[in-house]
Amino acid sequence: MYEKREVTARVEKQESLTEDVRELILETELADDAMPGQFVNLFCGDGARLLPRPISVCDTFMGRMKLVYRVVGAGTAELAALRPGDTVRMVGNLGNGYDPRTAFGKNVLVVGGGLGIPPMYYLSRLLHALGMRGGAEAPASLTMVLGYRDQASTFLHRAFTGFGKVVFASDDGTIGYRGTVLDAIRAEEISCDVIYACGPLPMLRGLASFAEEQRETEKDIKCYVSLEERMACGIGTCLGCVVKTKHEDAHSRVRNARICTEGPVFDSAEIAW
Amino acid sequence: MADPGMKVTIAGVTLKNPVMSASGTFGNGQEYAGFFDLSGLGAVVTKGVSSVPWEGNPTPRIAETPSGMLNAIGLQNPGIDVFIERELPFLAELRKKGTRVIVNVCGHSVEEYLSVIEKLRDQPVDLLEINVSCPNVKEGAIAFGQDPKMLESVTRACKEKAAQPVVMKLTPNVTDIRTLAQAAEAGGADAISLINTLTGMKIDVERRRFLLANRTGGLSGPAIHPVAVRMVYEAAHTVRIPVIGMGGVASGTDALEMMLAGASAVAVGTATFHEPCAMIRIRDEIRDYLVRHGIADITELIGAVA
Repeated sequence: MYEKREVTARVEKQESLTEDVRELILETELADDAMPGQFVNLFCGDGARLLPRPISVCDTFMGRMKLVYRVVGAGTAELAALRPGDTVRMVGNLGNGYDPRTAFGKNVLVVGGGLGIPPMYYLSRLLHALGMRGGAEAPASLTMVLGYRDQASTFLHRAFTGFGKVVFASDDGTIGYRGTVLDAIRAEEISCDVIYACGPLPMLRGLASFAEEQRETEKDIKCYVSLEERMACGIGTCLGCVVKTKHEDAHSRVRNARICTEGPVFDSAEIAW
Repeated sequence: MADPGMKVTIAGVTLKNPVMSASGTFGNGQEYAGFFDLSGLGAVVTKGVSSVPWEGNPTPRIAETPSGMLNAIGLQNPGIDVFIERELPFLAELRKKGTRVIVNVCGHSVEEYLSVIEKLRDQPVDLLEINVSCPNVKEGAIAFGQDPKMLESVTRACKEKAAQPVVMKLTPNVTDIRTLAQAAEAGGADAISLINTLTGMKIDVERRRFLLANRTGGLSGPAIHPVAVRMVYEAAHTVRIPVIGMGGVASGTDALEMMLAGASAVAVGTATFHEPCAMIRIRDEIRDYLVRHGIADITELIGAVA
């Protein structure tokens, strides 16, 4: 287990993927041990913006970390203004991440919706690599379903090609199925043993009930979802980012687990939706 | 010149330096142990501990504001029994290195405060900080801290039960902080700490909704620092017991301002969220100031601006 730590990262480059989505490549030692599903906390240079911006890890390679985020306010606008050579203070790697062992030998379905897609890229890449290596740890199959608003808002959609079967869904049908990722999953009759998902809450809730239905009818499928919530510390002290769970949480024993520490990835059957 | 003296004393308890964590922003310390050596702190003040586990408020519990933040956690915590069994051993080890342990006690009723205080009687704890000032809990807490008569009687009850010196943590959400400081002193408090957060509200204009599920929350961070300095000044010049100053301290200068206003020690809260090692930097900035100004001992500065 690597220690969480504060580092100063150097910006290698930054580009626009869509009107409001940016890809930031940072040179940082945090790249060495970041796991898919984990996140980092980036601090703004403007001291008036006190709280860090939590951003999930989209990829790591050769001491670099790729972050893909949406510009939603003044804080992320400041991040979007970072240029090559600039530095940014950050804390990582935070949260539990997806446990690859739950994919060993399984038919895997990876689902990403909107800004939930970046961490699923990293996960899919690692699962694909695990598959290429073969043996007992290789997933039996890998299918990815990605949901976007429309064709104009797509990003990273080509990056998944080569990892396995990729299915798209969009609100207006301009890319892939018209409808939700769940509509696409049903239309394609995708069969799986384990689902990994990150995206908007209604999507995650839908996938959790989908998994629940499957469990009732035929098979024991697992569904792991990555949640988000407004947070302050990111390391488990402030108890800002909790989610209601079905069983006692590890910290306060009141069924309020910390998304930053016990999560962000949870077994969907553990969440009190 | 020799190293300047950094020790301060609160209710007979000597701290190696005046910097401590503010309750609720530092967990019980363990999470930050990977970021810096906690024995560099004068004291660790724990997250509020109640007699039984508390669930806290619904989410969202956090909102950022200019130079500050609102929180409405609602004192979620596992309760005193789990605290003693799981959290206190770590703090006891830290205590052996000379960092003092201050347990923040919360309750919905006097009985609940007393039940926590009773269980801490034989524990390795240096001071008790009684939270009569949380704005995010409906019963108890702030209600005890806004009425001088009530505050005096809660203080007296806590004092009678406590084995350790008692620090009453005051709320700034009152008309005159001096009256409350006097009430705590009259009840027998060994010290007071202030300020807890200022009650605030933030509305998401686009969605036309409250940002916090609790609607209101406690404002903290540099935005409240001048208010805190003013209140520390007023309180320190009204009572004879020591004052622990807090509220938006983010630098050595901020901490020194508190001390010049009359604080004997300073707690750092929200700054830690912005910079995990903020307290150590603040301690070092205080020491640098003393060296730069040729001040032999930090206690010379307490209340020096009058």
